[in-house]
Amino acid sequence: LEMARATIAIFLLCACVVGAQHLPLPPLPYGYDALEPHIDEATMRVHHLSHAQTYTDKLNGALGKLRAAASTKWLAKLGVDELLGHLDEVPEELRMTVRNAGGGYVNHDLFFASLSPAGGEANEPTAGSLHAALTRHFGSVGEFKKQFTLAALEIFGSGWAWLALDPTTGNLEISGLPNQDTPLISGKRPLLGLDVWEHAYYLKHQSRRKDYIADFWRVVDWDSLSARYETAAGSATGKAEL
Amino acid sequence: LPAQQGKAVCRERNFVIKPVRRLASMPFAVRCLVTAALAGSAAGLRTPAKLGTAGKAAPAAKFDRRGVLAGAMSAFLAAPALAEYTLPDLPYPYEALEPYIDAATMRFHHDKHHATYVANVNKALAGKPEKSILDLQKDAIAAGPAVRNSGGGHYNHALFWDEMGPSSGKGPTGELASKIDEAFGSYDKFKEEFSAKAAGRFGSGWCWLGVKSDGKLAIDTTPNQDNPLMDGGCETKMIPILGLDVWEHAYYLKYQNRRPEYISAFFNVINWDKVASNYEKYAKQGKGIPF
Repeated sequence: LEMARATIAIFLLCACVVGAQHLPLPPLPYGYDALEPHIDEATMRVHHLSHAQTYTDKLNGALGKLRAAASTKWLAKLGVDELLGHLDEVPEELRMTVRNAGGGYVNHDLFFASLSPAGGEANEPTAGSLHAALTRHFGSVGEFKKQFTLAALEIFGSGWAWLALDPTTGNLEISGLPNQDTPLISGKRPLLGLDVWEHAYYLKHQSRRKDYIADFWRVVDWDSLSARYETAAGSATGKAEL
Repeated sequence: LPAQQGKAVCRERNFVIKPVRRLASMPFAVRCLVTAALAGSAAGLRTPAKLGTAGKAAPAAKFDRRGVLAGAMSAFLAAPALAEYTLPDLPYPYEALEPYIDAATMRFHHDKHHATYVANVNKALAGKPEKSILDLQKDAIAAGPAVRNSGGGHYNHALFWDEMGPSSGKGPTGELASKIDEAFGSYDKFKEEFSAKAAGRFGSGWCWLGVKSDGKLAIDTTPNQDNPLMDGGCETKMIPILGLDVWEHAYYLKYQNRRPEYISAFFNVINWDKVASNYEKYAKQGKGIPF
């Protein structure tokens, strides 16, 4: 697992350094059946190999078009994360594709990396900086989970529930966004995302989104969430107490 | 409940509450007739003749249980009915649209998703005066998210079940067919444009064929459970006569992410006779299809 993570990290680092060139679909950090019995293998397969692959292909198409014009080349050289923060500078005819496919690409990458067969209650934090931050902003880790769950239940149609860091204030925020929108669009750092598009749970749970969310908490990887929090908080600006 | 009491509750539920609910959703004219009939029979009820010591019949009818019940029902029916929408039955068995739309999907889609919209719109409107589900659509967005989402959801799915049927191999005929040719060039070109737009609706939503105010047909899509009947619901103002649900729940069990395949399959189960009849009766007259 550690090897897989390290490989992916180096891989993505290279991708970021080179800029948003021709992006491959990041491999899953574990086997397709690794999250059973909580998230079923069939869903992991379709989710990664079909949905995430399609976003990858569409994003690459849009990046190719941005690269082709002198005035938009610079946008194609940004990392996708950064590109999503510059949507208003993307030409109108490409903007929705960048927003939807770029969002889909980064969101699914974050999602799959946020889950682990070793996750769930076993590695829920009881101390450390993430624990302190969640307690400070939501009252307790349990209370954070409750509010995040509510945000995920309230989304009507397709969308994601998010935990994000506002780099200007250091505040942690829970939000629900439609379709493949991400906190990156408004300059925030996404830390945890929960996909509540029906494709994320329909094969196993059909309309029972509540049961899917319960399964999510059984595989959420608190270690990688802590690492993401520390990175985001460390590079956050502002005098906010972190 | 003790068996006897339980039976009484069951009887009341089946012979009082359910019929009252059904009658309460009928048009006003029907309710008036029923009210008159019940009032008449209530007036005619008397307590059973008690043979007094002199063998005379009992005095004129007093309040008895049946009279009170009939009176209450009359009041219930004459007054504006409760805003209670009901889940319409599917016009065909769950497996009727196989192999294009699978039985499992029809089950979940109708029995869970549509049922939830009905329950939620009833909850949202509890205690407020009744509008037909059709009339509810116009101001649904202004009425707030609960009415918009669940009221829209109920109407959209009612139309969806109504316009489909077992595969017949038949396409549109008659005036509707010529209107399709006029607007799109041909039935094939209509399918092309409809397919492209249905595939292009990102996230959850619907693709619609509708009649504009100038009588011409058009295709457009809406997000989530919005529809073209709603003020602000669709870029194209039109009366929908055909809708395709492109929420993932409509196709995921059989097609997963292969939405274009589902859209292709859909054309096989459109009941064009029904669609044409709804067009003639309502949309052509500038009226929405009622349910």
